[in-house]
Amino acid sequence: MSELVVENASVDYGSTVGIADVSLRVDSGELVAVLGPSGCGKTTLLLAIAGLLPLAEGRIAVGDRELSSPAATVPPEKRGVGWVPQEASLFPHLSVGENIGFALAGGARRGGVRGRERAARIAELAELIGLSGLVGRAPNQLSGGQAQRVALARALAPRPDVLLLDEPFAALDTQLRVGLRREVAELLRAQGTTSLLVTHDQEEALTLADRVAVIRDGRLEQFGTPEEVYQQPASDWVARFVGDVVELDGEWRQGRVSCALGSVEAAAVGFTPRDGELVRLMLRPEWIVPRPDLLARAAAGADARVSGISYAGHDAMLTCDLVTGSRVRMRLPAVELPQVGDELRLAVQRPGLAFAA
Amino acid sequence: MTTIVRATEPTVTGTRPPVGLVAFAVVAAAAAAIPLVYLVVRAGETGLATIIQTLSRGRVLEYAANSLGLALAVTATALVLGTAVAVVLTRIRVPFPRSWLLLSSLPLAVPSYLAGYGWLVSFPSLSGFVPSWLLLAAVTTPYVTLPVAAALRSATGDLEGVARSLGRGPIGAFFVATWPQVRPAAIAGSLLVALYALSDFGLVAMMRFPTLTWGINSAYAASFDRAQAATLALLLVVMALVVVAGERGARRQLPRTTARAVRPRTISRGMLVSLLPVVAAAPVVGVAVPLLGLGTRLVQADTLRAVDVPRLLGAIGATVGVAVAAAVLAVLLALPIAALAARYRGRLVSAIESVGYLGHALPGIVVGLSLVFFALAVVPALYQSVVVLVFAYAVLFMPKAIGTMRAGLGEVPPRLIAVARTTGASPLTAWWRVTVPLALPSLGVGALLVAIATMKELPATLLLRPTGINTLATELWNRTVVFEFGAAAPYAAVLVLIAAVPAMILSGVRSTAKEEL
Repeated sequence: MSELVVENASVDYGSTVGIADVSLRVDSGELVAVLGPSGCGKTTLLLAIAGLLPLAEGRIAVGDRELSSPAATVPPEKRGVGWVPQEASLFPHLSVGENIGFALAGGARRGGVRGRERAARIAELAELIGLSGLVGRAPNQLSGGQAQRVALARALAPRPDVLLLDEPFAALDTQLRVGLRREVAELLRAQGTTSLLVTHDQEEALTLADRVAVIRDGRLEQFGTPEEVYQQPASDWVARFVGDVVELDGEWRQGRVSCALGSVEAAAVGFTPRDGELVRLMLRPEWIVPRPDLLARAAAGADARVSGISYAGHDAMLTCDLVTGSRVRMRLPAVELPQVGDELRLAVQRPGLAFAA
Repeated sequence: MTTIVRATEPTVTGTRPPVGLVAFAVVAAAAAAIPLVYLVVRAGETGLATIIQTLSRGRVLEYAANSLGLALAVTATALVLGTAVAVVLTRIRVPFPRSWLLLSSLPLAVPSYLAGYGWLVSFPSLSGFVPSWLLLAAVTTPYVTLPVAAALRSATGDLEGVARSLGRGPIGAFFVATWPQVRPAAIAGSLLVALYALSDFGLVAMMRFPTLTWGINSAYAASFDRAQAATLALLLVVMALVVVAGERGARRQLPRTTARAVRPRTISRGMLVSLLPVVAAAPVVGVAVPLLGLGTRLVQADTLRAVDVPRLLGAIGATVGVAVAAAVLAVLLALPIAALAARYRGRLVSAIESVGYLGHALPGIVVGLSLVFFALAVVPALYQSVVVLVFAYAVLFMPKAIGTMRAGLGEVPPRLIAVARTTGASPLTAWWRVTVPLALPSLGVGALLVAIATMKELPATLLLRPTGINTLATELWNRTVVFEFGAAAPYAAVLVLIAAVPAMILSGVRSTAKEEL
């Protein structure tokens, strides 16, 4: 099967960011997102898997086929690894159909059996990406979204074992991006293609991927499902990078942290605190709710006054000044919002995360 | 779609150039180095004592002083005039600005000896320093005008306004704020002018002004005094290399800022008319007057009656033939160097590239002379054969092919190659299916530039052409030096066509620097 295995992979890459000791296993048919800030080495990882960069240590394999090791790198054209680059990078001198068919044999002689097979495959892929009518066009006549679809079809044409997507939606405007990425994810799942998607967009990674690999400075920080990465981040850095956080200093006491929000139930991450030790409590803004009835379950409450509302349509971010002097942000569904100046009693509806202070 | 290329993107797999490519490039660079290397070898055989003795002769000092004086005068004139024209064309609202810029670049297409011929037709008594100086200045002014105009267009004009607001007058503000941004372009352009003036043979010979090039030719032709010719050539090469080194240094300082350009200012009609002589001087002296002289001579009845059609056709055939051969050879030699320089960095790569550009620094007469020696000593079978002639052209004009092809190959995004590889193409297949089709126009342009330059070349052709082969340039020259202006006219006319038509075609190709025409 076409599962992708990356074991202890390191790439030395001159002065720029390489990767160090990264291990990943992408199951057959799975879509994994590689998430990290710009310059963290995620593209380097992709280029190493594509065979465009050699490994300094470790190995890369697809199924039982070893592709890269420090001793040998199977050349890009023999790896069966497809690549959709950041900008579509279509061949400007070829039509859309010829771009899609670039990898297919029988290009020169039309009419023969191979030529007919090739034409059929191009038509099939053009239909798959919904651009059947544009096969004869030149790449510069396409919109950004169309060009990305063609790049995807071109990469899928030789039926690669693994498909790599390098921020394929980054250059598109927001509305198009949301639509196209959902479409592409569905298409990849329907095709059963093992895929690795590089992105710096948290929302993109969390909504599309089966699992998310978070990379920082060339190292793998966490590899898990979107829920795990978001709700149980492996480090305070991952917590901050993957989503919004509310941070409060407090004192650890028997599985709870006493802080400006009262005594909040929490799980310690990465260390075992002693009672009375100072810790840093992290909460997601939507974990804080103005509901006194929850007080008993997870946390003690705290009185607060709403000092700012940032409205985003589907929900809103409220800034609240606690009577104890701290300030927290909370996210509420924008159904029935309080006003600035309203007084609320806040509670935390699920256990928070405690990190070493 | 926005194109953001990140700096961290690797260009190709690994950073070491393929061994095969390096090998081909080294061979090509070695070929380009033959004239210079052999000249040095030859001078070494002559011995230091003889060289010093030759150099201290009064005649030689005169040649050298004349060459230097002419180069200085031409350079200063072109610098002042070219800068003035560039300022007028970029800072003042003139009618038809594009046409004016094209017009002021036209003198570049005219070989100096053609301009000389055009003036001699009307004024046969012209001779000496002054006409050599003015005509060379006219045909070389565009070397300054074009880069300075480009630099002015990208120079930020806000500073000039700031200087004005701080109490400087318009001219003071220009020198304080704008000139420093333009200076590297102006200096680089001026040094090209100096190189041209040092290397020029045809015009100074027609004007009977004895410079080093003239001295080399007469030492070789009249007395077959090989030692003296070689020594003079070496002296000339040293001067040229100094100039080229200066030009490279100046070019390195070219700023790469992109800023808001200054809007051209509207001035009164009277002022515009008074500026006309500045802008028109070079095109009038370098192009209009010579063409007029040629045209009037050409339509005279006795000229037309005397046209030796078979001989003219023979010259055209020979010229086109050697030009095509030179273009093919130059492109073949330039290809590995351009491919290497477009993708890889490093000391070896820049050394190979620099050697490839040697022809740019070597005066045609020096390449011709050195290859005469080389052919006689190393491959006597090829002496006085077309092979050596074509090789001389290829060495001389290879830099034009390297420049355009390097740019064309460099513009093919490495990512496209990487994409092709991941879809299953081997490196060679990817090169053939992606790089070649995308870079083909630049190969064509490179070949065309070499062909045009070859058709206009005079001094190396004079030294190396096999007996019986006459190009348009040598026919024109042979007739002009014996004052047969009428018989020379048809050849001059065909040369004008050759110089003009491709220049027009190429001016539409964006990747071509106007200086290459």
